[in-house]
Parts: sequence; structure tokens; C-alpha cells
Amino acid sequence: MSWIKVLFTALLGITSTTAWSQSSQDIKFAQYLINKKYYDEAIYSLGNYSKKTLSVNQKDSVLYLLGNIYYNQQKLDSSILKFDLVSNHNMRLHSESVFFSAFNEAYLKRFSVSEKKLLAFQTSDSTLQTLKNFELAGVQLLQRNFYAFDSMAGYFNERHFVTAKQQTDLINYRSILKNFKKKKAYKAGLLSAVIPGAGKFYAGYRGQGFFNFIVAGLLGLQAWEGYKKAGPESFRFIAYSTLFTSFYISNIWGSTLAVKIKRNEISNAVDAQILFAMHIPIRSTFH
Amino acid sequence: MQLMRRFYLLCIFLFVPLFTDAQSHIADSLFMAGNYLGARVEYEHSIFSSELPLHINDLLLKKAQCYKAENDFEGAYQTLQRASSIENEKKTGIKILYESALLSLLLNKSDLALSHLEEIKYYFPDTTSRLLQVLEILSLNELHRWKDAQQKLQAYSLLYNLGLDDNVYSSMLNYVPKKTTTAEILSMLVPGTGQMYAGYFLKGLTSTIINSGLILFTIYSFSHGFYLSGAFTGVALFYLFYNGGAAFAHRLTEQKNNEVYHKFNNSIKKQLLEVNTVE
Repeated sequence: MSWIKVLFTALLGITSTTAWSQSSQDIKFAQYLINKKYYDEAIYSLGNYSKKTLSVNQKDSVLYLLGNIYYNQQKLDSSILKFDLVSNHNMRLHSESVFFSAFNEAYLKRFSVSEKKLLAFQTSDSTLQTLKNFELAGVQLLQRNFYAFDSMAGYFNERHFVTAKQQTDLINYRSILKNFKKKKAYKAGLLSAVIPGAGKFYAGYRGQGFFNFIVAGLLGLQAWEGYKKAGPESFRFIAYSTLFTSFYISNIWGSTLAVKIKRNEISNAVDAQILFAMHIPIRSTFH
Repeated sequence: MQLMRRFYLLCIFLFVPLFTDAQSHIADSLFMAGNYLGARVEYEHSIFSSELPLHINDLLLKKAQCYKAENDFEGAYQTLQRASSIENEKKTGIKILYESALLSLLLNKSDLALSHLEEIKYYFPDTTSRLLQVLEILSLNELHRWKDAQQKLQAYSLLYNLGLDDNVYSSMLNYVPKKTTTAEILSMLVPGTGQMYAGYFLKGLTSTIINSGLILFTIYSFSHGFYLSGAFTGVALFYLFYNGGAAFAHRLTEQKNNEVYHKFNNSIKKQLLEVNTVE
């Protein structure tokens, strides 16, 4: 009987150890799948793993990994959802989750939510505090809130290498945005009414402006030729003058739109650079 | 006492499954149930835990089958490319290389398919399989190597006494593909004739009518003193249609040649499929 007892106790011990190591293996396996970019498999695997009874730490690891997967898949809403559920039981995972969640919100142009998440994050770590300040400044710049950005930038310091370069970048983007001359849509329309194509040239589309000028000129000349040689009631004159008028009017309309499009193009390009600058220090800090 | 003894023995019996490698059996069951993603995860888990490369190759093969069942041929191919030391185990090695060749063919990479088939010949020279021969004929067809494909088909037909008609290849061996440059030159000489040469008469005729209309418009405009519209409408539009037509003739010629190849390759595929289905 005693040997059965000994065997039973030994097996019970082995089972507990196996279950414990199995749990850590599951997380390692999910990490392995993520590294290999098998995201669908990693989600499936973590989904199965989360059905088990898990400790707070294990739950946090699962949520954090899922947040990362969705982030890599550019499914930012799902990523936010997972990162937000990471508890503050493990400060390392929690901090990273907060910063990534706030960054994703900023990327999705939900600036006030991003700001709120960053402000709610409290830390005594000076690197994380610097990072928080930097991210908040980035969010202000994305909102074109220059006054708030300047006040945040006042706290920039170069002691922390993870943010040092990007701080300078943000200040440069701020000056680009400040110096960006706001062109007026009505001005582009008026210019195109006087000289076809001039409005597009003014908006910044020089090639298009020149091309429109040539086309309008050629159509106008042909209409004039039809009028002069075939008379105002001739089909030739009516056809060419209709073509010219349509082109002329659409060009004026197009020029006003071109100003808005160009403005958005520049603004989006700067936003992309700001977001890139905000992303690098988060990566550098946590990896 | 007896009761306690029974309890302990029952518990010990229940511990047994814990110590057996059930991972790949789970994967097989998931595969059979059509849960291919689940099966992929379980196979990958076995790969993750396994340290024997030969065992890993078997698992990779199974994982590739999951991708194949999901119609993800690229995923299946990439999975098989992770296999190593394939030359050390004949059965699995041949299967991996065969599947790689098949998937390459499905991914329109016939040269890769042939190269995998060559690997089989190199590592396992004594291998004879009908499927390998069929795959080689299909790959050669896709690469337009008609002579080699005919020889392989002949040998295949003789070996298995299938009575396949390899004379069909004579049509391809004698087929002179339409030349794209000829089509372009023809369209430049007389707009529309390049498209007709490629085998698209109506498209060619449309091009001829449009270009002729523009020439007539230009001549009429110039002769009646409308120089500006003659130049900027007649000549300008003619220039666009003339150049565009030549480029279009080039593209249509390529399209026609591909149609001919495709039709022929399909007829061979059909023949091989019928024979193999009957067999």
C-alpha cells in the first residue's frame, strides 16, 4: 500500500509542476508565433489559453500579447480594447499597454481620449514621466494646439536618450506647421478665372496648372477660330465654345478644391511624421 | 483499505494520458473535423516542442496540408520551405518536395516546380511515381518547352500503356507565336491592322474607323482654313489614337498567344486527368 501512496504523491507533484510549466510554455509559444508573424495562429492559441483558469499576471500577459498582435495587424480598435484591459498588477506590462493604447487613440485621431489616458497614467519613474510628457506634447501638436505644445515643450530635456532626438523633431514639425502659409481657396478660384490654371499653380500643383493653361488656351483658340471663320451659329463654334466654357468653369472649381487638397496633403504628411516620432520612444523604452 | 487502494490505482491510471504526446493526435482530429486553423496551431505547437528535425518535417507537411485545405497555397509553400535535412528520410522528403512542386505549379511558378522535381531526382534517384511524371509534363507545358514535354508524355504513356496521343504536340511545335513587334509595326503602317493580325478583327476595324475619321477631320479642317482645330483637335487626337492603337496591338498579340498556350495546356491537363481518374 505504501508504494502506491508514494507513487500517487510523486505523480501529483509532477502534475502540478507540469501544469505550471505548461502555462509558461503557452505564453512562450504565443510569443514564438508572434515572432514568426503567425498572427491568426497566435490569436487562436491565446484564445484557447485564456479559457483556462489564469492568474492576474497570466491574464495580463494574454491581453498584452493580443494587443500587440492587433497592433501589428493594424487593427487598432481591437488593439486598444486589449491594451486597456491590462491591469496594473504588473507595472511593466501596464505602462507599455497605456502608452500603446494612447498612441493608437492618437493615430485614430481621438486626441482627447489619448490625452486622458496619458494624464491618468501616474508614475514615479523619471524615464516614463519624460515619455509621458513627450507623448502629451505630440498629441497637442497633432491637434495644432501650439500654445499647449509650447508649454509641454518647456519640460523637454535631453537627459533621456530615448526621447532626445524626437523632441527636436517635434519642435521642427511645430515650426513647419507654424510657417505653413495658409493659402486661400477663393484666391485660387479668382486666379484661375483670370488666367486658367493659375489657381492650381498657386495651390502648389505647378505641372497641373501649366497643363490646364495650355488646354484652355488651345480650346479657346479653336472656339475663336470657329467664330471668326464659320460664324457664331456654326456647329464648330458652338462645340468648341461649349468645351472651352466647361473646361474653364471646372478649372475654377478644381482650383478651389486643389488648395484644400494640398493643405490636407501637407497636414497629413506632417501628422505622419509626428506619429512616427511619437512611436519611436515608446518602442525604445520598452524593447 | 481496499477502497483506498482502488482510489490510488484509479488516479494513477488517469495520470497516464498526461505523459503521452497527444498534441499531434489533437491536431489530426482538428484537421479531420475541418478546423484547419486549430490544426495548424497544434502542429506548430508540436514543432515548437519537438527537437527532432525528421519529426518536424512530418509536422510541417501536415501543417502545409492545413493551408492547402484553406486554399492558401503560398502559406503551404512557405511552410514546406522550413523543412530541413529532407534527404535523410526518403518518404517524407519525397512528399515535401512533391508538395512543393505541386504548390509551385499552383502558384504559377513552373520553373520552381521543375526545380523541386529535379531535387527529388537528385536526392532519391530510384524514385518512380506517376504523379511526379504528370507534374513534370504540366510544368514543362507551362514553360512552353513543348519538345521536352512531348518526350515526357510519350515515355509516360509507354511506361503505363496509357495510349496517350502525343501527336497533339505537333500543333504547338509548328505553332509560330504571333510577334508583338509585327503587330505594332502593322498598326503604325495602317492603324487597326495590328489588332486584326493579332486575331481581333472588330477591335482592329474600330481603330481603323476612328483613325480614318480623325485624318478626314484634319484634312477637311486644313482645306477649309481651320488650321487651329485641324492641328489641335485632328492631329493631336490622331497622334494619341495612333500611338495608343500600336500599344494596344502589342498587348492583344500577347493576349492571343497566351490564349493559344492556355487552351493547349488545358487539353493536355484534361487528357492526363482522364487517364489518372480511370486508372
